Amino acid sequence: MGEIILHGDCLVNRAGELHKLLLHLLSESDEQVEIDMSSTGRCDTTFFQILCSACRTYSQNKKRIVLRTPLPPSVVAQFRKAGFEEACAACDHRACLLKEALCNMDEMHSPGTSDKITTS
Amino acid sequence: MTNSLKARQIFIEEARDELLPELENALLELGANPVDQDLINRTFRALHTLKGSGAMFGFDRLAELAHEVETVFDNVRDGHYRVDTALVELTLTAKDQFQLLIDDPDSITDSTIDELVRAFRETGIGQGTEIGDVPDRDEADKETGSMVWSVFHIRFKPRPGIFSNGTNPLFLLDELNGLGETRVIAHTVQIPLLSAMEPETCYVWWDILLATDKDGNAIRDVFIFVEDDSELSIEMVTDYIQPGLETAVFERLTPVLFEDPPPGIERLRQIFSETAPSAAISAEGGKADAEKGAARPLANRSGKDRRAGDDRRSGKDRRSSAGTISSMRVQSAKLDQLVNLVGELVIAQTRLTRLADEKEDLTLLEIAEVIERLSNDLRENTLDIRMLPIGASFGKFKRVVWDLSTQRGKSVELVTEGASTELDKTVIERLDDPLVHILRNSIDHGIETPDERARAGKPPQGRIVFSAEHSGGHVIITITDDGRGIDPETIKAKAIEKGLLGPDASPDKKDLLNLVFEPGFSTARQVSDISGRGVGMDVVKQNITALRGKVSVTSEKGQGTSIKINIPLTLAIIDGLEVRIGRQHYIVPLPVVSECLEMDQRPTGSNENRFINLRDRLVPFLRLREWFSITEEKPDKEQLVIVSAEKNQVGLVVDEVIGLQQTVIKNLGDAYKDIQGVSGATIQGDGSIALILDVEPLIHKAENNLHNAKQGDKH
Repeated sequence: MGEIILHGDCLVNRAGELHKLLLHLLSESDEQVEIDMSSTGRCDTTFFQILCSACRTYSQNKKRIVLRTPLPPSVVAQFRKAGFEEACAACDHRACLLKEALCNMDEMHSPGTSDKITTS
Repeated sequence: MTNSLKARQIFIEEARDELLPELENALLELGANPVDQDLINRTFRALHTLKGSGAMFGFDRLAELAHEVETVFDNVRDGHYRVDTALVELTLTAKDQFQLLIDDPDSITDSTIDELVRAFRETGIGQGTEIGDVPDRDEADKETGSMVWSVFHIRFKPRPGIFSNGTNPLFLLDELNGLGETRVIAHTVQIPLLSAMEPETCYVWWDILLATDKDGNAIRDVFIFVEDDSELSIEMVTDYIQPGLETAVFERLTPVLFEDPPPGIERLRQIFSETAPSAAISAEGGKADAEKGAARPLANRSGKDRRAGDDRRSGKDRRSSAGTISSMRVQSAKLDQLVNLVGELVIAQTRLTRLADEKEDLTLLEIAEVIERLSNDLRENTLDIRMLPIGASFGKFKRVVWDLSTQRGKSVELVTEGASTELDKTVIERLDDPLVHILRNSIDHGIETPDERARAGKPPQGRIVFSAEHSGGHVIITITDDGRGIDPETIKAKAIEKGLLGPDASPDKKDLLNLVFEPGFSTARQVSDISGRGVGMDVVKQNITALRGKVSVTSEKGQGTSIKINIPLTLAIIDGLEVRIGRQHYIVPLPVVSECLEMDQRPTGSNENRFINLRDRLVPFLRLREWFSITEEKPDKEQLVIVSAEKNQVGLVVDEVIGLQQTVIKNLGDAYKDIQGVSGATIQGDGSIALILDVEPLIHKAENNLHNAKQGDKH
């Protein structure tokens, strides 16, 4: 399993770096790549675009990419602000990592759910 | 320069040239008309744009201060506070700090901004400006249930390269959220697979639903820096929903926005009207209108609604006219470089024409003519690009008048005329300081205090008229005040005291008044920090002379003073008439030339070197050969160039009139500044230098000769 830990801001100036990394892991990793955003700061549209693209690309290559939850609240806020929450909710792609991460977040905040990290 | 630096630079230029002058103008007008809603809106919009764009381009302190000022003006706009002189003063101070934060951020300390932020917060909690008896409009609206919001649909499709110039669409979405309640929907279908992806390209576009009490212009202002290269539409779904019910409306409209093809505004309005009875509309009127699938008719709206409607229409007009780019911003240094290049081209073209003449080669002559015509057109177009309306400086003058009259306890109205009069950019820039000094003098020494004016039987408010108009190849600027005027006797006494006049001298009034332009001359009894140090008017004259301009003063004691400035339209290239005396060539500026004659008649008068009879009119003349001490032998037949200025006409005697030529003006060094009758030099086609004549001293000399001759004849 591949793992990417994203420290600091994920803005346009790092978009190229993240894009390359995900392409590299697509060919090098086994079935699943996990992204850890627990120490991620600000994100912008380029970051969400790359995640969206990675999700589709991995799925097409019979691989899986997941976000480790819980996501930092600031990342969730930026994700919602950028309008991706609505986009992902309406998306018919079955393995949408963003939708899945948000679902997990909601479940975690619902009564009776555990804090266990879902890595499937 | 990277794209993000370029974008930042564009913001800096826009703030300097448009936003800050607009803010200052609106504030100054607001000082005179504190309840004018349009002026309040203009002020608010300028602040809002400064705040949003400042934050986007990293001017955080500017954005912070602008936010505080904007908050106060938002309250003014909503009728919670009243504009008074103190608020205008405070906001003008903030405007000066905005300017510094953009021009020279290091010159400002954090404490300066903190103090201003505090001052605006105190204004916000009602330090003397709050209207105590006006209830909070939002509260009042809530109580009566009359407050309404509009719902807008915004479709924003940025160009793919939007990230490369530093724009972050999330900031725009944030700003929209500040206008009310939003539902943001990103459209991600165009995002490609990783292998086909350019990571710094924008593949996403957005639909945004916004419930707000703001109008379409306020929304459009959010996109001001990206509007030109993005697809943007702002349409109103309804102008009537009750706040708090927008979520239900958003829920109904959101799924529709994922339809393929994307829905237009009519579809959204239809969905809104179909669901309105159960979802959003609470008021009866709103429900009925919503069922018709349209916004309520303007006639039934409140004043605020009508204004919003008008704004929306103007926004739509603006959109339709913005389909093509009608103007663009160019760095002024590039224009200067362009003029220099055209100047070099003109010199090269003159050489080519001369060579073609010498060779008598018809083909070459033909090419030379074409090049000459093209360089003429290019010169005219280039100089035209550099022309700016002088009205661009009026805002600064209004500020000077506001600041100084307040400081001096005087009431002064500045009337401006001829704002559209155009002058070369460099001329306007160099005129700023002299004109400001003249205005300062008018306020400090000319306009009396209200008490003094009352005693003189004048209205309490003084008046300064600043006018500009074209006159041939010149612009005449006149600054007239209705103050106490200049006393010629005081001038005379001061001039004698300073040794500028002998005790027995009896100059006429005009000469006496013009002594105010002498170095070190000031009649002010008390030196003030505004003017009166005797270093002003002579510097004014120096600056204007450096622009090849003239300045003169007229005044009536007790009635006022008028300063008249005559400035050439351009400093760069002029049409000239080339003449020769001996081996020297000179250029006479074409606008002053009336006609050319052969000196075939015998001069009239007891001394033959005085005047000729020109169509029954005595015209004095001057031999340039003598003026410039040229000793070479004169030709059998001399020629006469008749020049005129300010209704005076004189003849300049030369050996030969060579012809018209475009003249690229080159400044003479300081060593030549005292040579009378010469204003500059130009490089000829053969590389030699020709002096450009300054005809005014020549005319003056010839007129004096005629006057003395007449006096001599009488005796």
